Amino acid sequence: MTIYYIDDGGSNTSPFDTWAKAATSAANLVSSIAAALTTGTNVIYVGDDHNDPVTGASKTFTFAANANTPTQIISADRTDNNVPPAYKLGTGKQFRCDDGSFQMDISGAASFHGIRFAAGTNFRPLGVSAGGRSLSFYDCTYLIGSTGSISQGQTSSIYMENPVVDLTADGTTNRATAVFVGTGGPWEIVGGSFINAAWRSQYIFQGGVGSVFLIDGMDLSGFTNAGLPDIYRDNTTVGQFYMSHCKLPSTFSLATANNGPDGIGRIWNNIGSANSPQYLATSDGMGDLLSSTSIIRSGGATLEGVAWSWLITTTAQCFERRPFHSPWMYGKVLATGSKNFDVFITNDTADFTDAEVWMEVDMLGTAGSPKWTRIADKRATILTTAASQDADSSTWTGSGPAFSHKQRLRATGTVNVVGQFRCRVVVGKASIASSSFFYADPKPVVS
Amino acid sequence: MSIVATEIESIHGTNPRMIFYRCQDHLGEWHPHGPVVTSDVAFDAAAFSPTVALKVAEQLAEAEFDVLVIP
Repeated sequence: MTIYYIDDGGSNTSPFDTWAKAATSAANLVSSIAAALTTGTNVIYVGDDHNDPVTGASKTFTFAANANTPTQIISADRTDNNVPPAYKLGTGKQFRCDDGSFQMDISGAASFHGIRFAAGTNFRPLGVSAGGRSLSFYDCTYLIGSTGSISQGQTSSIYMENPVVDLTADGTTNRATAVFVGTGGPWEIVGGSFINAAWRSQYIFQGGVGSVFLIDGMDLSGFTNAGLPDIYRDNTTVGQFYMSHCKLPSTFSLATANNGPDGIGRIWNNIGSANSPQYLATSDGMGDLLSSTSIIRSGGATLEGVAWSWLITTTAQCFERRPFHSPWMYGKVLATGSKNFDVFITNDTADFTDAEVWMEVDMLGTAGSPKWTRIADKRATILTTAASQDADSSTWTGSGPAFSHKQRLRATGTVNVVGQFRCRVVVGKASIASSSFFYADPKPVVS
Repeated sequence: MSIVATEIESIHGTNPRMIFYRCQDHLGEWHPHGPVVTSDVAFDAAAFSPTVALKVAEQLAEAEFDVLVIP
């Protein structure tokens, strides 16, 4: 492992091992020591107020080739001559190409700490292609251009913690460009905040083929553009999106279009302008599920003491053998024997049959075994005459629905081991619109 | 693909409200959009309809383009 220093106040003297002898730019360091950035065990200290010289061109910074041994780039107090120097967040443009419409690429494996990047257009954390988690960013700041994005660039794995995305370059003009663009592979972001986010008007995250966004604890409340940017956009490709415990503006739009096949889509939970533990939304190519605390069944499900239910809509691509699935609901069976598993639903269009809506239950059906046994109340075979699901007399309340078709889904089976079960609502009917007011109570009842 | 009509399909709940829209293209097909989720009592769901139309039109245009380039 070798330690190098980069700072625009240094003398640019090899071996660049103190602030005084610091290289005046990453390019100068590499010019003198070719493997300085690409040797995976090396540590590079960058002066906190260092400004990378501009060159009138886009820039690519290349780091280690192996994701298992990334180069470390750490922003540090340039006035501290201790070894190591004190960690200090960058205030200068420590890696930059914002002197024109220039793009910055970060290639290879590296771990960045407190670094401030400034690109004229896009910032692209390319990493190592298909090389596992090769790029990690901790407490870094990203200044991007007015039509710029932070773009994955290729199939890779990225981790970001507490990013600050500076959209000052947007000015006061609407910008129809995504902030984050996934290309392929997992991209996990924990925390995060934005500067001048109010001018992004189209969408915030854009998915790509094989992209997987994992977003937790981010503050997106600044995205207040009147165009109401979607949180996520898939275009016509298949990406995955998971968002949890994020702050949003008082009005928001989840997503536009979802071409994902069954089970591969999007999940949001506890998002909103205030703490909303009951907020849950799922979406895939077959349908959507959205929670509600306004439409509830008397005696039904509660979460942290608040009653809630699930609204379900389906797409034109949903059908009996390619159905939409709700999330699993979990419970415990307290005694063995024959059991009825019930879930209660309502809609305003017509009674559902067992070819259109049913429930699946996984329960412990084999004595002495952890293996689940699946039972369901769908019709026996694809050729069996469909029958209406049982009528129900539950009380539902809330503004909007008429609750004209209340039904009960019931699957019956013999439990041979006391313990956990899970169940879900399965919908095999196409094009159930929001105006059908199809709600399910996510509290299964065992009798 | 142009949008000839936009309407509010349904509104669910009060606070927050979930507002669902649908847009009709020039071939007569309806396309759902939403929901818009809002805890802002001042949010005008009807006034937002033109923005919804633009969003759906853009989505349809992008899908149309992909059909052209993917054999």
